Amino acid sequence: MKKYWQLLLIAGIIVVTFTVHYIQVANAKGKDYDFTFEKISGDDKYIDSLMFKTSLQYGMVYNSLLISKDESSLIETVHNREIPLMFQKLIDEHKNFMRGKALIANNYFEDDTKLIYMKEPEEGWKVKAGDTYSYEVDILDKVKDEKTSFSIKSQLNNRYNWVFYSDITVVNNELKLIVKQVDNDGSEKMYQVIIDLKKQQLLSETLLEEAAIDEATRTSIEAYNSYSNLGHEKYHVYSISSFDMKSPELNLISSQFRAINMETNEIIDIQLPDGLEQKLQSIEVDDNYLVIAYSTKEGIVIYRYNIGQQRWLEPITASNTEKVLNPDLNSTTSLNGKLYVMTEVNNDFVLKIFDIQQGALLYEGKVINKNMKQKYYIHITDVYELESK
Amino acid sequence: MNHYIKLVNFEVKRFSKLYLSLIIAVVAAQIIGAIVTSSFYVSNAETTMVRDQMTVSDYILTYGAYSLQNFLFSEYFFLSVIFAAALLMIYVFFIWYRDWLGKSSVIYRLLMLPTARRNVYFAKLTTILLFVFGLTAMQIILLEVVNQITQRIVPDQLWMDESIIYIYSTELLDLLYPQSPLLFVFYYVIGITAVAVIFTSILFERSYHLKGIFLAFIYCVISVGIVMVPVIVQIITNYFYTNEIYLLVTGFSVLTTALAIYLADYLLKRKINV
Amino acid sequence: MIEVKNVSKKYKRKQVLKDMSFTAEKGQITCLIGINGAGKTTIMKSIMALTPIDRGEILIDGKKISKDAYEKITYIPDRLTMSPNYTIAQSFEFMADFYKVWNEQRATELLAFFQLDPNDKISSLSKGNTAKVNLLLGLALDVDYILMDEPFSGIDIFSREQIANVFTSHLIENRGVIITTHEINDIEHLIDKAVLIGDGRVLREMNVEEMRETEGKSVVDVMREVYVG
Repeated sequence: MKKYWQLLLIAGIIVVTFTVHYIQVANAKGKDYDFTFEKISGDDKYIDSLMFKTSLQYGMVYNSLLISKDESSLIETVHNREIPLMFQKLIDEHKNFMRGKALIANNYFEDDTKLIYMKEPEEGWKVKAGDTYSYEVDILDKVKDEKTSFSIKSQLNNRYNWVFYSDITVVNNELKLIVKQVDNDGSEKMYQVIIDLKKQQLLSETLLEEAAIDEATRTSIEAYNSYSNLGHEKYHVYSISSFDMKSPELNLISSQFRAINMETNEIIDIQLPDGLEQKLQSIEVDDNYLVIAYSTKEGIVIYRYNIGQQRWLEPITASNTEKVLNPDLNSTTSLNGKLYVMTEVNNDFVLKIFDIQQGALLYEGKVINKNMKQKYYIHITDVYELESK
Repeated sequence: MNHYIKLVNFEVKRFSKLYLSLIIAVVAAQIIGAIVTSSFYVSNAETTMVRDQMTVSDYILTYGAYSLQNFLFSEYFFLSVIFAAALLMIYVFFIWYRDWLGKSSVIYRLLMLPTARRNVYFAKLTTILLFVFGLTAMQIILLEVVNQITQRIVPDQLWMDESIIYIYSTELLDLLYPQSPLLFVFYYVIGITAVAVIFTSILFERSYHLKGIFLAFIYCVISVGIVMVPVIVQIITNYFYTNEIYLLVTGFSVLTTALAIYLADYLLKRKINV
Repeated sequence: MIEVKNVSKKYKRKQVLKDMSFTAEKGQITCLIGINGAGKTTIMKSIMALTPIDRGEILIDGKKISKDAYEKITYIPDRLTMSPNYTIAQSFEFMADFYKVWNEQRATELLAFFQLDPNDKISSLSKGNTAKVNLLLGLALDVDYILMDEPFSGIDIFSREQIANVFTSHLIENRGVIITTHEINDIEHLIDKAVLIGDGRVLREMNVEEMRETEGKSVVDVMREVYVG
């Protein structure tokens, strides 16, 4: 036995060292990334069944972290390529259907009975002049677990560089798409495309907006609906903004907000209160409401617009309990009628939950980690309802 | 099995002196690096703070505190790792060629042992693995030592403690010590396959000489091709999910290793030339 | 019995073995005679599967060579087959570790016979002593067949006598020995069979004693006939 001492020594050191190391790593993952909520005011029940997807910056490392009342877990990435949570769920549930599909939320629509995927049309530079692109639709019948596909040629003959979907929804067997075409020079066109799902026919392609670019100004169209919502949203909210090309920071000249009623196809103008367009820090669309928020040294100001009734509600001002170093809003997100706002207060991160319709502050609490040794930054990217166990 | 272990022991022992020297060299280089980078940082910090009339917290805000990163990005660490890797890489070849060269032809003895000749192959493969893992294990310990040394040299306020997860996310370290089990298996299977393929290539050369080098080259290309099959399929069809590709490549790697072993066994039994 | 049957082998462009056939019996000393390059070393290596053959068959006690055969047959080449950093004692340990037929007692006897120090590093030994160690490692195995390639090459005359003595001792008695050598004079009186090899083939295979009795010729006489005349 003793003539094997070198072999045993090396093998022993290897086993012990690696075991200890990976145990330490596992411990650290549990401890270091353990975030808890410390209530300041309001009711705990508003965070009970929620899971927050956050982006954590710790030193020079960025991680995605899922935080719920009871536990925090790091999202495993392989070579920094992470599959967004909602797609992970879709992949788990419909593995075969999801194969080879691009993971772009705007290309999907999901409801109780079906899952629809639109393949991004060919890039314009691949399409020869005179040709056009096709709308390629994949439909998964969730009930029967059957897949149907069809493709319809677009009737538009514009020159374009790039086409993509801003929104996909289904209303009464009509597949309604908000399609954006971007030309070589950056100018944009926004279309509403309606396809009859049963007959698999193209019903209409309507130009809604055009955003041109010239030397003096640059106009662009931007959508504000929640990225991670794959289901039906009543209104598609967007803005057409003009920027001054001559100024180094591309100053905002004007911004016009509009909402498309996805059921009636009607377009509603939304007039912002004076000066608000220059102060926008966060914009959320939650069902019937457009919520705009910004932060000042004194606190957070929240503007709510009831899209259906076409009126602005009383702005909410939530004062800071402590002095805030960074007046910019950290992050916001919305879900089911509630607005979730994260602000950085000194070295803590404070979560506030507001009821959008009533304007009340439902919960205020710190998101803290006692174990982290150095400065970290955390902001919320999404909030999910936890599946009831 | 018994003979295999005895052969592993034989191979380990004959390299152990050189291996120990290598370890000592790496340890020395990194300890020196720890002392040098931290001392340099401290003197630099002190000079700057005096010259620019800064407080400690001001200095940290502008220039950053000292952390293990300072050491990890220094030449002392980087070069010592590269040096060790290069030496082991050379030994992947030399572990075979040493048996043919020189006054002594140990290969005669190895081939005349009353044991399956593939045990010689397995023993050399195992030895390389042991030496590689041995070095990486030692590096983990060494980083702890470096951490302790720098902590003693750099004053507390200028020293930044870092989480183990953060430290091991640094470029080179996340390659050697992957935190995802899938990646760990993936990297090390690929590594083993590479060594196995090199070994079999060497046996081609030793069996067929000049023609053997040509055969070895073709064999290597085929081996790489096999491992890449899932990747090529993915490029064409875009059918698989990322973690499925990692699993598939790992699987095809194992296949390639099996092929390497099969060919090596054949060459050692029927074609080898002393 | 070792049977070499119609063995042919090409190396690079040269046909080094051409349809070579001969046998070596157990209990006999068979000497392969031939000039350098005739194929003596090559056929020995082929018997030991240390080099591949293109055609033909080699049987040891009626069976093809396998890993277990290495406990029945051993080869003592003209080069050292042990790590030079080893001491003689360590080389014994190595052999004992792997070979069930290693005879430690005989090894120690031979060590004393050759007057070698077990604690000497092999790399520090003279050429003659290295050859002796080489021989020792082969002879201390209780194998049925021993193949020796030029056991006398580069050895001083007194050591040669020592080695020749080994041949007559009980160490060789029941074993089959194949030996190649230039120094035919030293051992002519010891060998039982002579196989004359030239240009890769067997030119003459003969029983030495028979040859002397029936035709009154010595091995050297036959050699002259075959190679010169």
